[in-house]
Amino acid sequence: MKPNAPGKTEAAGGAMQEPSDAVLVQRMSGGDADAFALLVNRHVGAVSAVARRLLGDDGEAEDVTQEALLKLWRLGAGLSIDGPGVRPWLRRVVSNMAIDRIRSRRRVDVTDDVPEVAEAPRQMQALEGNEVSVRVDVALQALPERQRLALTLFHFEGLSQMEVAAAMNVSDEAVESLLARARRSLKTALAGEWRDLLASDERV
Amino acid sequence: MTTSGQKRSEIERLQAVVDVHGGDRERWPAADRLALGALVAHDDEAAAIVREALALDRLLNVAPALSPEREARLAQRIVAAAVKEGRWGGETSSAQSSVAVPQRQHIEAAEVGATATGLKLPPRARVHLWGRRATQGPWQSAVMMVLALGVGVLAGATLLAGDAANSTFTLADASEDVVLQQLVAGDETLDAIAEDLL
Repeated sequence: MKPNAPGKTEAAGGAMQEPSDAVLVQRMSGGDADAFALLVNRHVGAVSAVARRLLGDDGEAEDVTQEALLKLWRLGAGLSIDGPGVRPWLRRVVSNMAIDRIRSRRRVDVTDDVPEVAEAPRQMQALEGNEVSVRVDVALQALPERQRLALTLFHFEGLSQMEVAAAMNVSDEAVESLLARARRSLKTALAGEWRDLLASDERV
Repeated sequence: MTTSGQKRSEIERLQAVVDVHGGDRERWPAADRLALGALVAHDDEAAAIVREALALDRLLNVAPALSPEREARLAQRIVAAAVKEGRWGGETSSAQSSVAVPQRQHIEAAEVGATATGLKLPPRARVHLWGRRATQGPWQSAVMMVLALGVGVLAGATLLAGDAANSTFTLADASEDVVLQQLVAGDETLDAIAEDLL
């Protein structure tokens, strides 16, 4: 009989199944680092994507992703896991951490009275390199943080309006307003890009 | 038949819906999906609004994310940090983990320290010397003692040299031979102290 692949369990029909988050968290709580590694590999992409879109910086996104996942490791059995697994919890933790960082950045900017020079190279890169993804990133980073968070959760993470409201601890109506303002701003900021996209669609 | 006022109202509703939910009808509230489906299918203006919203959705999807390679390295670092940290102040049994643990930062930090002190560290010490779970072996204590001794000798030498210099000034009116004897005596005292310490 062949041994099971690491981290997989055999289902009734003989097919190999990935263990659920709840099972992995239980194993991780007993100090099983392999179970934690499976959880990390499963969620690092989605969690870092939220952080990256909120913070607009790879290094900072990696920092908060690491902090959030290590928090999971430290909490272990103290975390209550239900149907959707650990993803919603991780998303909430990483969003809060990212927002804290954005706020502390702003405090530093105000107290030190430093002009926002960090954005300039990326804007130049967008203008000179005509990189659409950089332009989109610049436009996203220009949004107010709550609008960016609502859009990230709704558009990129696929949460429903109600789920976004729960994650942000605001009302449905507030989410609707944040999303609408975010998309309108982006539509204006990226008008050249989406018009080019439509034009190229028509040529095809 | 739809009147122009009704149509305007539906177009406005459609615009409000795509502003919030984007162009993908699957993301629209069910009631709006039903109510606006016919309008989008048969009205050019409505269809254009949805096309624009879909184009914006597609643009947003090219927003940068971490590269797969960077993501993989990050995952490895996180697991390594967790294994190193252990849990709840304790340690994770190495027998429980088959995960590769590079611990790059701590190895580098220890190597820098070793280079500075001219020491050749054993492999385990290289990993844990500056880590949270560092344990001090007898050789580490010896090194620290020798370093402390060196600092002590230097400090003592400086003070004694200062004393000798002062005594030279206080004896300015004495004969040259007396001053020389005092200085020689001071050098001998320094040598004796250094020998005792070493």
